[in-house]
Amino acid sequence: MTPNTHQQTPFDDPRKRPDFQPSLYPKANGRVVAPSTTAPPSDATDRNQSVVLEFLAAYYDINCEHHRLIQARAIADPVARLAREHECLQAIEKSLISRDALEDQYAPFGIIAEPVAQDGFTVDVKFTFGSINAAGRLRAAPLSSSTTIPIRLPPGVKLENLTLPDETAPPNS
Amino acid sequence: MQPTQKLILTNFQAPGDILMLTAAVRDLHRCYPNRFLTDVRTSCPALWENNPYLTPLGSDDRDVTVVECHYPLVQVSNERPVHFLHGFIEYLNDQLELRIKPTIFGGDVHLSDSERAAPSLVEQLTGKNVPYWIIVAGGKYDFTIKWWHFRRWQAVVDHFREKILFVQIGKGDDYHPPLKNVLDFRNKTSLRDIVRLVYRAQGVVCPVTFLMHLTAAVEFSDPRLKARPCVVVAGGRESPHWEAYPTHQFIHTVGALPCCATAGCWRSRIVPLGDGDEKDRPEHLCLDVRKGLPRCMEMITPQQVCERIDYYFRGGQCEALKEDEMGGLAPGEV
Repeated sequence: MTPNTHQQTPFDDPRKRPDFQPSLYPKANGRVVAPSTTAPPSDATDRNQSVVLEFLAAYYDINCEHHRLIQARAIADPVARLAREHECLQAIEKSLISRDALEDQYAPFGIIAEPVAQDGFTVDVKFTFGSINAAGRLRAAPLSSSTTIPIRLPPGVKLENLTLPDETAPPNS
Repeated sequence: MQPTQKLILTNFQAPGDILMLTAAVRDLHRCYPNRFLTDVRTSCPALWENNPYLTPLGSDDRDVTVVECHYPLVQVSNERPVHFLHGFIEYLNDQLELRIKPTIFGGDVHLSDSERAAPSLVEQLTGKNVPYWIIVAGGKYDFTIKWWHFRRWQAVVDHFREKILFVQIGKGDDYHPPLKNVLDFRNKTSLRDIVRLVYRAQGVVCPVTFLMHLTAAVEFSDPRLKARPCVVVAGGRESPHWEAYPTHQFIHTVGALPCCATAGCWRSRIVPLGDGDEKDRPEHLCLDVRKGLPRCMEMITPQQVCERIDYYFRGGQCEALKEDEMGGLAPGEV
């Protein structure tokens, strides 16, 4: 089976959720992508932009669960704390499985989403794409360059007196 | 006695190809001593450092014959019993009317005395002279069909966690997903650094890539060893007789699957990448993709790879890390 390039289920963008917490939404390649205007649009049709949003959503969910776990560990009652911790850990496990599924889905396309962690939270995700290089150019796009080579004219020869070949003339004429 | 002929050999392909050219230059000089003065123009000058067969020649020297080197032999490699090492040799034989023969089963990369004397990059970093294996968990984007899934590479690393220190390498703009519990040298090594790393490496595990050829081309820091362990996760793209080295564990599926029933399929990609490369075209795509991998690669399990690595330990070619060697290496924090 060829991996599906499209999402199996409609993408749930956490930025549209009423309880969205921007501080838990990671950056992408060092840039803040939500909710600022520089963000890729939520309805991004470009595959790479969609992939970025999917991974950011996955890491946002993990961050949220991790945040809840920290809160759970502050509960004074040990019985309640243990139960809540257990719930949170299960939720983290579920989020990690979703993240792994994303990684598996996009691995054949050469997409790497490398998380950068700080204090247990993913604060940034470094993306590498199969279709474009770090400069954002298509990997197989031809490169062109030009240069100017000055050629000194022989003594006594003036440029205006030279006859240049007629490019429109037939070959060997 | 024939007069000495001046040659400049050119090739600007990938490092693996250039390694094969180093073998051809060595064998040219071994088969025809004192007949040629040879220089090269290639994409990888680092692979020619300290090469005793080269003589600096100017391109403007009127006595020089410039040979643009190719290996058309690959086009018939599925039918003929030939190795990649024969590629440039046969071409030079045709172009120069020679009868060069391969003299060694490997490329020809030379180290300087100072490189031999220097501590390994691993020792420079960790302060410990410990054995290590090099791991490549990806490759270039042009032939994604050679990739194995990074979770499988990780499973191999995890299996040998107390036994082997793995050093992950890979070029920055290629596909090299990060592995855990390794020394991460990705995008931190020059081509020459990799030569030095291989020199002191106890073993190598990789897909079909430049590193497997380098493993067979670089001498050993331990003179007692005759061959450097190398496990190659190969699948069915290339025919083993073209690609494999006798001392390597080359895990392939040629003969086991309809799509590589008699020889390598030579296809390029698992799925189209959308990068504008012609390798996205249907005739270059894998015919049988399972779980995001070519079936030939999917069939190869981490357990198989671990067993092949373990061969070298059981056979006495390698020694596991000692208890005090693993501590303090801080894998992954390079």
